[in-house]
Amino acid sequence: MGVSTIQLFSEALGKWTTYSVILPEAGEGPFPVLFQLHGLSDDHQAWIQRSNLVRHVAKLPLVVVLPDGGTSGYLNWKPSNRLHKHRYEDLIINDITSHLKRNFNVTGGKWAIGGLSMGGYGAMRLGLKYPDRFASIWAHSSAFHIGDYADPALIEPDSVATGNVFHLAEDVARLPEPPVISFDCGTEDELIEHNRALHAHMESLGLDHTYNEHPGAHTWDFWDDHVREALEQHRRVLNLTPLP
Amino acid sequence: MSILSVRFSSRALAKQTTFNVIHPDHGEGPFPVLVQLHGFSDDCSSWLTNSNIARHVASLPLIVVLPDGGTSRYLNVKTHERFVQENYEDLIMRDIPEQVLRMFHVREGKWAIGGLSMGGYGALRLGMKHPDRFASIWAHSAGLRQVDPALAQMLDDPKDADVEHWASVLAGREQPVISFDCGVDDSLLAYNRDLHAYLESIGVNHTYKEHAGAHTWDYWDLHVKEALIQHASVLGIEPES
Repeated sequence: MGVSTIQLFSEALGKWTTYSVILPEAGEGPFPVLFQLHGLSDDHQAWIQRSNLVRHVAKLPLVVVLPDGGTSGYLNWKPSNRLHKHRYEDLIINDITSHLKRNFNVTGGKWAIGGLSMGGYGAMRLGLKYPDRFASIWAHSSAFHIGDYADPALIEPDSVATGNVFHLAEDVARLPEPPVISFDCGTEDELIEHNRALHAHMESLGLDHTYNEHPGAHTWDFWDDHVREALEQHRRVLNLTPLP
Repeated sequence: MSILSVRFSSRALAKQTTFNVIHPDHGEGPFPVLVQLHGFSDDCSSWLTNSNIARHVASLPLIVVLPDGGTSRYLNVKTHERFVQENYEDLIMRDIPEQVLRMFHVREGKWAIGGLSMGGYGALRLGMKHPDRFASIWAHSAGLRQVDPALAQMLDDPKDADVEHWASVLAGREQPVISFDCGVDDSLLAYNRDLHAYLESIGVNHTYKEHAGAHTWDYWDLHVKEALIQHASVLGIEPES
């Protein structure tokens, strides 16, 4: 595969930003896309450098996109002053998506989204908010409570209203074709109660999902291991045939 | 740690080249250096993207330098094409160290060297050839085939490419700590066993290990951790919490 780093001007941020892309080394395009979101304090290189994601996806005819979400929770924040824009949801959903469609041989249909910790929250939230865009969601060790801190003084109204993944799950439960939803968490992870709570909530809604607990904590060893199960789901949902 | 990509003009190659650096973000400099070499068909990003080396070294006060060796076997070779220069040993031994010493807070003294496959060969050969520069060597799944006639024609002295030659020169001198390993399902296993037997026969101290596994990144991602423990021990550094 090829690993490419792309700089683009983002309207959502009002500045230049960078994302990385893992490109398939064979197969016939157009290829579907997996957005894989990093955690708090990390950036667009974290999945590449701290896990073996590049090797894990080597046989998949899939474009993996790694945005830089800063410390945003992948929410649209209000401008903190006249010169700063922080609309990270729009960065993913608008700017990078249209940049991908313009520059790469990608499919027009539904894609997949995943992530860890803050990025697990982002993946679950954006996946549930945009079920017309994402067919497969897998969130690891997620900070599902980030939405509780979505202060209306700081966050754009639309992101406040949709910041809570528990509420979004209620909307998605009413859809005829909800996305395939999975999440997992380590039993030593201090975020586990938030994950158990979302699992119980989705059970009560009758919303199909997979929730796995494994030994392990909030560590890259956990994510490097379990991202492979996520990729297997994305492969199946996106109907990808592994390359020889 | 921080990860840096450095592009500079190399005299040895007469062109621009790139190396990556994993730099500690804690601890007190100056730091010792590990030069970690990639295999055939790979480049200066391969250790970063295909293994977790960045995480494995995260707690070590160590600068890891990842050169781009092309397909050179880290040798200086004669080329017949005008404008083309392929002195990869000079890249590793002179040009990149010049950059590293100028740019970073580097401890005086010997460095460590490691690598896989072609880079395992490069680490053993350069480490043994330059014992004044390297205190610790660890090669994984090293490609140690005899020097073939086509390669010999490209060298000033075919012996220069021969690891056993440099091992024999090393015998009786101050030696770096030398280790190498190979997977039992690796097609290069016989060459590694041969080198092990040869080093035994001439009395060059070394550690040789065989493990389950083949010529794969799963193998290298696992066993580079043992290499790092040796390098840290020989260089006298300890993981920081």
